[in-house]
Amino acid sequence: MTAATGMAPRNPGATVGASRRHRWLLLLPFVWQVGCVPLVNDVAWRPFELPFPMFWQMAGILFTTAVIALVFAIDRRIDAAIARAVASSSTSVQDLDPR
Amino acid sequence: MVVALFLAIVLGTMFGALLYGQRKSRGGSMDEWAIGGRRFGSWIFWFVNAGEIYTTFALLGISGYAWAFGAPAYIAFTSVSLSCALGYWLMPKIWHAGRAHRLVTQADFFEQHYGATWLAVLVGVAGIAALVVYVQIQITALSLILRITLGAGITPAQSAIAAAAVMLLFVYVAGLRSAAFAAGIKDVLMIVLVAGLAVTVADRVGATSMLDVYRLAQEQHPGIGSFPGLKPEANLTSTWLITAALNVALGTWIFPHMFQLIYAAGSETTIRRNAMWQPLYSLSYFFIILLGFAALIVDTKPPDGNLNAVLLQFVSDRYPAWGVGLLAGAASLLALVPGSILLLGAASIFGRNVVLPLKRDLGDAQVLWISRFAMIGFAAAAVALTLTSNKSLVEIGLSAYGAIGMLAPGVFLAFLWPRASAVGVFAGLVAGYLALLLPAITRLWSAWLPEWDTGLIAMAINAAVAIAVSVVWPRRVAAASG
Repeated sequence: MTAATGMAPRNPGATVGASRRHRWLLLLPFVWQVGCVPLVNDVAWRPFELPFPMFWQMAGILFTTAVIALVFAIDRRIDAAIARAVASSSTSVQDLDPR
Repeated sequence: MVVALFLAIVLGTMFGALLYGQRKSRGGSMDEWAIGGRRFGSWIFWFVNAGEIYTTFALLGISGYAWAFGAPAYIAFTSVSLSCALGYWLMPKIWHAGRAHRLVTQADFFEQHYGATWLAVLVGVAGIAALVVYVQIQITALSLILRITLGAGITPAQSAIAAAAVMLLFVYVAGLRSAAFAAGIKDVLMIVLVAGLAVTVADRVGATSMLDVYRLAQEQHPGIGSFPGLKPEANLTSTWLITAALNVALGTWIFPHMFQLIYAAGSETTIRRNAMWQPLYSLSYFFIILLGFAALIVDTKPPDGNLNAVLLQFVSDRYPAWGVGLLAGAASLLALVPGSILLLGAASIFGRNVVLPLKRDLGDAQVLWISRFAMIGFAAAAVALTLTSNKSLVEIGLSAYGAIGMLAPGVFLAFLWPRASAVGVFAGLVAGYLALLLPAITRLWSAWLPEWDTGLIAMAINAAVAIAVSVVWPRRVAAASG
């Protein structure tokens, strides 16, 4: 225990680094706005009179913002957990609960 | 009327920006002039960022592209959101490196990470070259506006030089903070203007509503709304969109001025919040494509068939004179603000990363003056490029992304792969430029992969070579642990 607390993490973010896996979600906008381009190109349906490929790209912008907002929210929760852990210097790395 | 309104907007904004810059700035240091003292909060960061992303490329370029090609204009919808999705991950890494090692330019980053001054000098020169191409976009647009506003009396050369002169004047007196103020004004002005045009456009072209404009355009021009758009022979297919959109997303933050802008952020949260909100702004391309389609419906004929002039021509055909003045003024700011930030970026790289390594005994003040002086040269180079090219703004934009994409492997590998070495990055750079610029090689791409964005092909080759060479000559362990 003493050894663990003695070795204060040089970079607390890196300690919780494993839990930053939610950032892979940031690939989803690429799937929507790039990967799906050939699939939606020939859809004849015109929502609001708009060409479907255009409608798809506009929806993609909303989707991207939603994805980034989600990742941002998760990141802030983790950052808050790290900040609490760092603030109480007695806390060892194991007590971190990054979720 | 047109000229008076145009001058009022441009001069008024410049004057306000100067006052703001003088009031806010703390002394004339390089840090303050080039990266705003690393204190930018969310709002100012958002505005400068938007100022960088929404340039004349967006307003005149995309409307012209929609008019000429149709669906290929959707590239505008992908550029911001995908850059932000990537930037959410990438920007904080750049920001941390900048803060930890007190970096000012992008070449500083290469020097610090790869431990090679010679690489930083090369990266500096490469960055400046890409920035000059980007300034070319702004000068092309600004000189076009000057010619249309001030009449046919002036030649393209005169108007291009005048455009460059105004840009230089703007950046000399102030710096990044003044540009931020002007960016705020121009964004508000552009929103008001685009909204005003969009609301009234249906009336002007005999449609019942905005969406009816889209219906009419698709009725008159079947195929306009899907790839490959109106001119299949231009090879602007789905594949083109995919490759060009990826290249733009990978290249956006690699531009030296974007690097500098990231350093200027006050905190990581500022950057992340910006990445979240910025994409929404790009929904406004709905209105810009609308204007391009409307111009097509009424068969707008710009001078010399110039794509870049479609919106200006359409507005002067169908709107009262004050509308033209307002558009010309706002569009000039769209060119001036990013143009001045680009010149600022090129100048600070030149001073710090090209001049200083060659002559170590210069003081901060001297470097600042050399930087400012060098801007004249960069502006002149951009004017020369403008006068020898007649490409569309979107094409020039994509070639700027192609050029800057050559530095992307070096940046991404720095964060992803500790073994990547200076020699590897250099080898990649050389291979990439050959693939991008050598006519014998570019002919191969247009024969084998005619629908692909050349910049993305060159970037892939660059990255492959950089990785292969780094495997043979990896970065030293001592440097890697530091």
